[in-house]
Amino acid sequence: MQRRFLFFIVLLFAAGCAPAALPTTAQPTIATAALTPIKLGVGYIPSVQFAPFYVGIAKGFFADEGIDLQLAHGFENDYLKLVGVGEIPFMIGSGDQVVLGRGQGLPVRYVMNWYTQYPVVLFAKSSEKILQPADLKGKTIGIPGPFGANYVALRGILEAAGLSEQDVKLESIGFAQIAAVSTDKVNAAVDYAVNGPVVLALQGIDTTQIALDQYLPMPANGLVTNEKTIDEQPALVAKMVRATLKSITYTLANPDEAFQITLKAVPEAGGENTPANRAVFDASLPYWTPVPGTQPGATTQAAWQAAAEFMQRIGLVDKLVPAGELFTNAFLK
Amino acid sequence: MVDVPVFCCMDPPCPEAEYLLRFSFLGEEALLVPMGAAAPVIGGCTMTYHTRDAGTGWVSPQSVRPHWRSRLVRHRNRLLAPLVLALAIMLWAAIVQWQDLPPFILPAPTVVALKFWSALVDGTLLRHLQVTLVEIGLGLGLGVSTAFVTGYFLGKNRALEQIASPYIVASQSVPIVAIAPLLVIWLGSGLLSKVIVCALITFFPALISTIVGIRSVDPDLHDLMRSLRASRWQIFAKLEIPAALPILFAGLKLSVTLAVVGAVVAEFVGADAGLGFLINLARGVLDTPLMFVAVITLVIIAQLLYMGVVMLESHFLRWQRQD
Repeated sequence: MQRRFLFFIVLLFAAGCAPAALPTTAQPTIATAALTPIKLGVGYIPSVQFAPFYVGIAKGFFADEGIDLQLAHGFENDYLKLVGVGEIPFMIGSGDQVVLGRGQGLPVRYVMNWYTQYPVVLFAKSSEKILQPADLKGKTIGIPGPFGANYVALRGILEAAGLSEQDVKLESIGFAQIAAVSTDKVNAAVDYAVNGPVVLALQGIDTTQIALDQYLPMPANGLVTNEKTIDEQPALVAKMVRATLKSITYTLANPDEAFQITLKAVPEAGGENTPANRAVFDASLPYWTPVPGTQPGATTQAAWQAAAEFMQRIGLVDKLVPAGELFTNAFLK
Repeated sequence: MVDVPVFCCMDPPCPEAEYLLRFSFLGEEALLVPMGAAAPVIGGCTMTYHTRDAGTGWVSPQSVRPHWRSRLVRHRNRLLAPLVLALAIMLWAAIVQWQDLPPFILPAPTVVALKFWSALVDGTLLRHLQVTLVEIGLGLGLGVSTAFVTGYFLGKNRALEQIASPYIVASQSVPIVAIAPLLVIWLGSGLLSKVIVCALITFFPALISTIVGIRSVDPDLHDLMRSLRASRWQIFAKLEIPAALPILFAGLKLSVTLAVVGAVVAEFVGADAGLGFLINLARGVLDTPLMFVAVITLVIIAQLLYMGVVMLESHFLRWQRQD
């Protein structure tokens, strides 16, 4: 009995140790000799939505600039603080987060635009007939919480119709937007355009969407760094911007190859999940495509001014943050 | 009869075997301490002394009014606790000062205190506190009562326990952070999902303590009660419950602190109010001091609930001390 018990304990221990010998994420890597390891804070979990970075690593675009890029997954707010205090040099963040951070005294700055459209939309089943912001009056809207990109998008959309939070019923549903809309627990919900609406479409549920971009030019996701890195390592910032832009351009030009590289980096997205993730990937491409006639990666003073004023209006920052402190296009040459 | 004071340590309790302590620094004369004198404190023990007849054994214990030093020693642990807290706060402030940390990374104690006051005054803290307390109360009540009923029957019936326990253990093996999002999807983001999460997290420790407590009842006492023709209810109310109470309270202490965790986890996943929601909100707007306020409030709630159980235990188990 004792021997059997001991064997069981040893088996448990061996099972616990075994995964440590295996790589946890099959990220594409190349030879890292003489490369500077650089951590980039990105979203919550590995996803096809980070395809350009997997492509850049696999094709050596970052290595060509002397960068050994390491993706660190977590919450945007947490990485904003870490970039602000110089713990990590770069993150992917949205414009509203940069305004929020700067409003709190974080010395962060947006150096390169990635998403050319704000990726958050308000979506509802087609049967709800919510086609424009004014249709939201009196409706129940599900959001993760009164903070973050989802909340900013909602407030912007409501403001476009002259509505406030008091004119609708807000329900904090966590990240269960898809379930809440599909089971009619809410009339509409706010989510990334490449998540909720895409997943519901795959389930055969048609949705209507209202995008913030139609009403407010909020700078969307892009590369964020801090003042210290800009001052002390401008060459690094320039290299990071160059490599990222090259990765995005290559991904847009070679979507099939990019998707295959991404599946190697995120094996969980493959197998029977491939069709769903391909749909998400394809839906993301328009958001990465530069607007014709504009410089790839650039944002405008006007957009940042509008963003700063909006964030102050809805009370997420106490004071108006000067637009010039929020961004720079100096590294886009 | 010769009075021979034999010093016996009160704290820790006096061992049954008598012993004589010799106080070398006082000399042999110290053994002849007059009756009614203040009890000395030796080696951290508050002494009392008994008189005994040199030839016939103990006569009676002679209690004396404890010396102020002995009272200080007896309560030293309670006095040290706030001192440790004060030292921890000073260390916290020193770290913030030394590292020049910004408030959004580690706010100073004074910043947190100011935020605490403003959240209290404007009603934010009380509003969210009420919501969390309701969730904890209902969840704890549901979890513990279900555990008690289930545990009683499993404790009385070993066959039933052997059938049910693998499923109960399996259900508890799933981390609550994994179940909570599913419950929000199934039950909505209202009060019900929070109560269920709290109930789930408090269920297991209460169940185990009930089973162990019911089984700890001396079988001889069962036989005695049956021989006295006690009814099932009388056996339950007058034997099983009182005998199992010490272990039940041990499980309850664990459950009350876990109930706080359950409420916060559920609110993290989907809520409109509550201290867990407040932490999420504070995180979302980079208000680290507010996060600290919510966390400290949760700690205070857990402490108060635990102390409440300790007081209930003192009240319901006072018969143990009298024995």
